[in-house]
Amino acid sequence: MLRLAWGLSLALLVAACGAPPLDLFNIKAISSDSQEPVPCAVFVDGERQDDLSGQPLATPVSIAIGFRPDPTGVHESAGVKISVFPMISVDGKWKLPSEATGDPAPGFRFDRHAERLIRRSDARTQLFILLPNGDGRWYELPSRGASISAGS
Amino acid sequence: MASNRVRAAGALLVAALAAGCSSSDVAIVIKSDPPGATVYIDGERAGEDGGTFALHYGSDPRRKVHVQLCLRGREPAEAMWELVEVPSPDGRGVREKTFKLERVR
Repeated sequence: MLRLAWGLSLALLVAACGAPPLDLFNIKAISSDSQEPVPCAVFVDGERQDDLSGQPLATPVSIAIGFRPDPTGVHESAGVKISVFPMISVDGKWKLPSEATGDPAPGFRFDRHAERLIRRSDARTQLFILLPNGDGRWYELPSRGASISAGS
Repeated sequence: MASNRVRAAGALLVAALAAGCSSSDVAIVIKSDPPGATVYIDGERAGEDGGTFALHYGSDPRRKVHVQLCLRGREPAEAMWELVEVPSPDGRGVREKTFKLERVR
């Protein structure tokens, strides 16, 4: 029994050492015109951050980010790309707008102001100042490795 | 004699540690062109343009302080400064930076 407990402890320790440490960042988005909060979905390196029910988290929100050290040792920590994509309210719930389902276009642009590379030593509150999408333009959702193709 | 050396070395070590841990704040006047922008520092609303703002570096001069400006009808402007990148004081000893905010296209 004691051996089993030791084994489990050792396994947990090894697992903990293998995973990158997590850092908590507050992600906020506001309108450049009104400076009021803009609910946005958050993407980390193109991966949407969801709650336990699978719905996208809406800003303002705190998320834990794991920074992996650069294996070459050149940098203290690797950067992580944070993107915020404006959501719309449907039946009292926030959702990502979809052109296919006839949703209205996002009220704010998804442009260079909506993405940022952050590092572990950066400020723990990351504020995104978004411009109104006056043209009713549609934007592709962030994805891994993709850069903003419209409106940047 | 030896104990004096140890004491001196200890004092030097404490001084070096204190210097390393001391906090560094830099005051800077932030302006916008056109005037009227709101200034955010490290993601928090700090005040209006034309004011003097404190940039907090703590014990890490390599940390980047994030300055953002926001004005209706204008593109947001921003800067990320390590301590050595903060604009130098002018002839009056005042640090000042004017951000140009382009009209939204």
